[in-house]
Amino acid sequence: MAKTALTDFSNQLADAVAAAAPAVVQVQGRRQPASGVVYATDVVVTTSRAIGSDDNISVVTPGGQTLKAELIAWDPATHLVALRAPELNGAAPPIGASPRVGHIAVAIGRSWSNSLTASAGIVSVIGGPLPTGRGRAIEEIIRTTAPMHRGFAGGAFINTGGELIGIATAAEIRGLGVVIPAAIAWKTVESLLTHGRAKRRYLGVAGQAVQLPPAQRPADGSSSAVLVVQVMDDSPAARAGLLVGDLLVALNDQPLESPDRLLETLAATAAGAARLRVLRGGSALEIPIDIGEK
Amino acid sequence: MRIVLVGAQADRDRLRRELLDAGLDIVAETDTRPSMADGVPAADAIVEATSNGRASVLRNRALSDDVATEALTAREQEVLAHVAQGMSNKAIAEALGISDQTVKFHVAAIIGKLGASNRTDAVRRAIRRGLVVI
Repeated sequence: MAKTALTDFSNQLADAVAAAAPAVVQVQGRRQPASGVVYATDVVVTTSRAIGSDDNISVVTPGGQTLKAELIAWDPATHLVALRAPELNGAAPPIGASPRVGHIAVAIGRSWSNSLTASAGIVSVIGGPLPTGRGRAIEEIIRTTAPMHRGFAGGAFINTGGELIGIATAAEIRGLGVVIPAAIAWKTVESLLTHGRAKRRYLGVAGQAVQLPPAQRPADGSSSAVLVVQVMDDSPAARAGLLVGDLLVALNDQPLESPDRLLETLAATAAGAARLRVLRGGSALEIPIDIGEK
Repeated sequence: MRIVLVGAQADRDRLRRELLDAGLDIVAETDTRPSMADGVPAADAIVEATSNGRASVLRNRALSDDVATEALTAREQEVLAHVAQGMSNKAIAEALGISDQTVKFHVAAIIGKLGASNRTDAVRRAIRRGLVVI
């Protein structure tokens, strides 16, 4: 049978995978290995799914060499992790332009045995800054039809030209795999490398999730809120007059059902002026607050 | 432990004896959930009686204190605050002027006390328990 356009396409896809493969490594930090992508000569980006208590992390190169690695820092909001493997001598993959919905893309990871593993799909959704559910912390996320098992976490998500367009997470939102866009992942890792920790937006409160009594539920129907249990002195929260016992219901109209959600919402909110909806003594208040960065 | 019992009259009646027998001190009863913001300064927990005869704890200050705050030492809380910023053990050691090994020991203790599987899980659990300032 003569070569067809489909054969050409198939070969192009395999070439794209082969081109990106040298930048995709295996990361061993827990019982089950995950994947990582080379960010710089001795730096690998992966997700928090790959790491344990931060000792005994290793990176296995595409050639099968096991190298010692150490945690540089991780970002509790996006769950991205930067690792240093001094002997890696890797090269970062080329970064592609932002994809469009409908583009064919391939997730690449390393299996348990370090074999190259690929999974193709299309870019299904490019979420705005505040999609519902997980991934809210990230200004924009890609969701794909490419099925990804847990070993894909931290792996590469590439376009048909073999260029990196995202970091796979192996998390799912409504049946679609979640991918962190390459530009955001690179920016996050750059910040982790510069500061040695995650720089993030800061209110200065600690809180716990509580159920709202039906009579107090706001118009949007939220049934839970964050009960403030601590307000740090000299913090944005203290300056805004927040009190222990306040119930935080929404930040800029984004519902806050739990402290995790507050952290994620903050991560996707610009520093500066914001509005907090608070229940205090049974009445709803809109409190202006100046979100800090720390 | 002092509690506020909430729920419909009939549900409270069913549960009251059991709670008193368990040694709990019921300081107040209401049929609607009190506003958390009004505070329940005299109570350690709010217990809701439900129609199936069960009790659910709406807010349990004593529980979170016993399990976490009191269990974590001051040093562990300090280490936790750094772990929650995404810092490595080495960076935390430098920031606190202690050895890597000591940080590793503290992190292991934090992970154990929070019932977490690793450092990132420990941070997630600590955030939910109100142990991390955000």
